[in-house]
Amino acid sequence: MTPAQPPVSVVTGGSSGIGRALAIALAGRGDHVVVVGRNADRLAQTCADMDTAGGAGRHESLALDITQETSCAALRDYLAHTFGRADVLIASAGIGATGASGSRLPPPTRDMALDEWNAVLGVNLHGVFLSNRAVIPLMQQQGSGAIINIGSSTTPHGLRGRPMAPAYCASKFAMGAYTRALADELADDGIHVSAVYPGSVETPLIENTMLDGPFGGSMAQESFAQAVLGLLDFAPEISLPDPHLIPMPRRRGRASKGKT
Amino acid sequence: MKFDFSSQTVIVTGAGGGIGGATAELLYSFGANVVAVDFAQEKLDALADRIAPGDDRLLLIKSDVASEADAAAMAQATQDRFHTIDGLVAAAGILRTGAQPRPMADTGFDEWSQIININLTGIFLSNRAVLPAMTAQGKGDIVNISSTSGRQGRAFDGPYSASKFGIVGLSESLAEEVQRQGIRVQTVLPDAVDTPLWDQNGTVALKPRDMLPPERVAAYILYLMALPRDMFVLNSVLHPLRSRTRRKKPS
Repeated sequence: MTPAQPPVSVVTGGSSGIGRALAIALAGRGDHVVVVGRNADRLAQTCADMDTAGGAGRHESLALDITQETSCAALRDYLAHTFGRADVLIASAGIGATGASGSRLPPPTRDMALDEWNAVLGVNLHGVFLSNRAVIPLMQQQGSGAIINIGSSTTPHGLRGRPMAPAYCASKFAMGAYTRALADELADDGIHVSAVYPGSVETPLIENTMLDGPFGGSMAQESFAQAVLGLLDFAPEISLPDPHLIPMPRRRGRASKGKT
Repeated sequence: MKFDFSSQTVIVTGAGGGIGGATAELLYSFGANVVAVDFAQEKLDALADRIAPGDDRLLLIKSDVASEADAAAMAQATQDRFHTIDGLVAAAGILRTGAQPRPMADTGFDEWSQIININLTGIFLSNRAVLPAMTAQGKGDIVNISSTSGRQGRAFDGPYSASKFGIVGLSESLAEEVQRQGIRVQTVLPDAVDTPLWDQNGTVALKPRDMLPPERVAAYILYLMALPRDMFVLNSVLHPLRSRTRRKKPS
């Protein structure tokens, strides 16, 4: 990559949480960054944050719903016409639940509506597939590219089924298997595909929940983003299947102030 | 990710070998005080000639990782010279002791014991030896080298595979014990790495076509130690990129 042509990086779910942190980190290293999300106002905020982070690249946003096939065709066409390439895709859009039930507690499987189930799979599984499909032709044409799909470590020991999260856990397991299959399929094209499995990260997804309980803490969004950018540096040379990025638990004796 | 290990002291066991040697060299190039540990003095001398002849940022220690006394002496010598132990990369390991791969039915107890003593007990002893210093500092990084054979066994590699499984379990246990004290314990499970370890297969042609360059494994080990301190990577599996079997498609 010559300095005149920075990598073109696309981040879905770029309007909040992990996606936003990753977009800012990619902008900070000088990439052209396209953030994709549903809410135009929040995307504009991420763009402003990327401008603040500096870097010589262009910072663009695209408001669309990645669960729709037509939206992803629009993403593909946008990338082809605007940049003519796609070097990095981070598929970060994900939801835990829709909140449609109005309850703050997750529904037991017995009471989960099919709409809820479909909505979670729509974003976490179909959305990943569709966003991946949007960049694969360009990457094949280039003979290079990196795709990172954001999975989940639901426990400190990795992704496991957890009670009261049937759709979420099912979507992340399915996405992991899909990602491995795609990695094998695209290896010969010079495209590096992997899923990254974060444990609890300080994001809106887990705000006001006890999801970080089993981990004894959360990692900062910036820490997670920095680690993922580090993994991207290795992509052209070694294969790192399924990296699990887990928070260190809070230190003993650090809760009370004034102690060192 | 930019590395800066200046004023940090890191012990590397198996520093005369492939992964250990590359890691020692890379750590040194990013400013670390490096304590290079190996059983073979001539390999340590070769490492010193290669990376830093006569430099006082490099300390060579001839040591048997399976010896309790040697592990204690290693930690003491490091403290005496550099006054801290910030990191340990435990890379010492052997594949087998005989000249050829052997079925388990023909594997002697001596061979089994030696592999377990070096590969697994050696990790226990070297890890235990650095814990007092790291606990006192409230900070430290331990990276233990397992193998993809540490999650999937393979014919004729029983003792090796058992030792590498053991490293994963030991490291997970230790991590849970000490991570609240700021000590990070991580494990790397590399697939085939292009190192002299393969010579231990004698004339048997088991060397795979695609192998990891030791320098890249070393870079990954530094990445783990350079991560923000509020996180770690759980049991990293490393594979070589597959050689491409077909050419880039014409567009």
